Amino acid sequence: MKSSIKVIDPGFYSSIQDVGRYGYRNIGFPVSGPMDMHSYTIANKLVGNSNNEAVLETTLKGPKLLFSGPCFVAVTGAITPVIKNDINMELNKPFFCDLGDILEVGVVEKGYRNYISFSRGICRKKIFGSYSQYYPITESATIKKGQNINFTNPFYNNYFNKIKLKDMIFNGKLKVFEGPYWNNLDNILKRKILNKEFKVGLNDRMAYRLAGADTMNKISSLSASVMPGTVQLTPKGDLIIVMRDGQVTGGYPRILQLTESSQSVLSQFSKGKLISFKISEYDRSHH
Amino acid sequence: MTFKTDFNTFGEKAIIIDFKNITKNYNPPIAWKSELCLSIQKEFDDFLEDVIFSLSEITFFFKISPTKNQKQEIKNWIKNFSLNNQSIIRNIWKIPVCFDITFSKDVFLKNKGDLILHELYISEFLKCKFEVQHYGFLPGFFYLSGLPLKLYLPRKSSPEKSIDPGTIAVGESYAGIYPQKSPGGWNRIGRTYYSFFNRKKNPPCFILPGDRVKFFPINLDEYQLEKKKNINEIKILKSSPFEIIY
Repeated sequence: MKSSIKVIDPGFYSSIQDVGRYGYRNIGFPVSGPMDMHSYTIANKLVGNSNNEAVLETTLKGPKLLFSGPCFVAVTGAITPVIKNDINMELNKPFFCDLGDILEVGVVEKGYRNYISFSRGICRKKIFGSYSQYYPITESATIKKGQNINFTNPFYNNYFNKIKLKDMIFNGKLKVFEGPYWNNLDNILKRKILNKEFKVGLNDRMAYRLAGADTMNKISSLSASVMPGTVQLTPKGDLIIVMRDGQVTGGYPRILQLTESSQSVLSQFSKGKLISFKISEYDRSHH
Repeated sequence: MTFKTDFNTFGEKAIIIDFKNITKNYNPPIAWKSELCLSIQKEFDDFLEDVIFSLSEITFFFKISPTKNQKQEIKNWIKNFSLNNQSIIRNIWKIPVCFDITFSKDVFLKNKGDLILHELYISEFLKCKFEVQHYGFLPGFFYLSGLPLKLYLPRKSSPEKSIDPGTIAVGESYAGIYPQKSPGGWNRIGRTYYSFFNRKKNPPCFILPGDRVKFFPINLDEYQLEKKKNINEIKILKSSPFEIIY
């Protein structure tokens, strides 16, 4: 019998993600990959996977899955109830699921996204070098009800990495570098942006939008490359932070760049949360 | 061209080089930028993830933070590339477009519903020889430059929820072809039955930055007839090669 995981309920927005799709930005492919790279890495480590194995990324409410084969599983990221056959399981700790087991990841209590890793890996066929779901490069953007997700390997490993977990950060001070356009801003505008708390508005895997108020401006720039973590300033004063499924070029000035760990922190924020920025110096030792 | 290459840091793993710094007041042709980036991406794929260019700069995305040596290697490559690549071949593509009012209603409305103005706009549009700038916005979406100022149209204040694939549209100074169903804020002017993005092929796109595009009109019957055909039966897109020398 072919072992797989059957999706009984996909949850709010769940997708398969590996480390991302590289080498195709020149034809407009977003890099995709996990929004919270930090939790993704831990999820794979916990079940002894290699660093770039595909996992499930869930948002707000996780999926309900039925196992048709044995596998070790770990759930990381947001603080969320994890239930295996009506029994509460611990986050950040691998546990065994066998044929017929039902795993349910509930609604987040703190944070926004969870990562579910499987010791046998999931998916078999890479599309343009990656398993990450992104429509229209892959057939669908999310996992669907009734879908079977196949394991990659016929066997599961039973060696686990011991990792010391730090507490998840849920505070909104994001470390940023100066972006290419930062020094085109005058000092008043710079200070406003650095002293202000911005409210998270509409957000998805493409971008986080933050509402501005007194940061209206007349700065314009040419369309240029952006990447996950790039903070763009719109004329209205709103900020748009590019995320993993975001465009490869953007027309708004690139004022700041989130560090990779700050991108992970931000991706655990939902609408209404407050964030602010703290500038980090570039490490000049290589220059 | 004279060369001076200075890199600016962009985040933890990317660096940017400004064309102004490479070529001293000379903005090289798009085809040259595109070939340069492709050659660098191919040559240094052990430490580079992606190389993309825009109007004024190249961005290099590294797998891990770049080292001094790696930057020097890229600088040398750029210098040699410029000496050895004095001409590049590109194509002019002739793309059939149906301008039936059902496909061009946004431009019709921007022309205040005046049919004469609308037809004038389309005839001016057909005179344009567009140049493919770069990909962006969506996989397989390329920006076409070459609209005269009088044909610029502002983007819609709120984007449409769903634009059909094959739609030709105008946004500010650019034209573009939607490769798949997606939201979009540009003004629809026509429709082609050609598909410029095929995820089942590698590479999935055949139009290159620096290529030229000319549109020619077809009527609704012709469009519908071709549209019904299997993708393999559709007439091959007409193209003619040309050489860019500098």
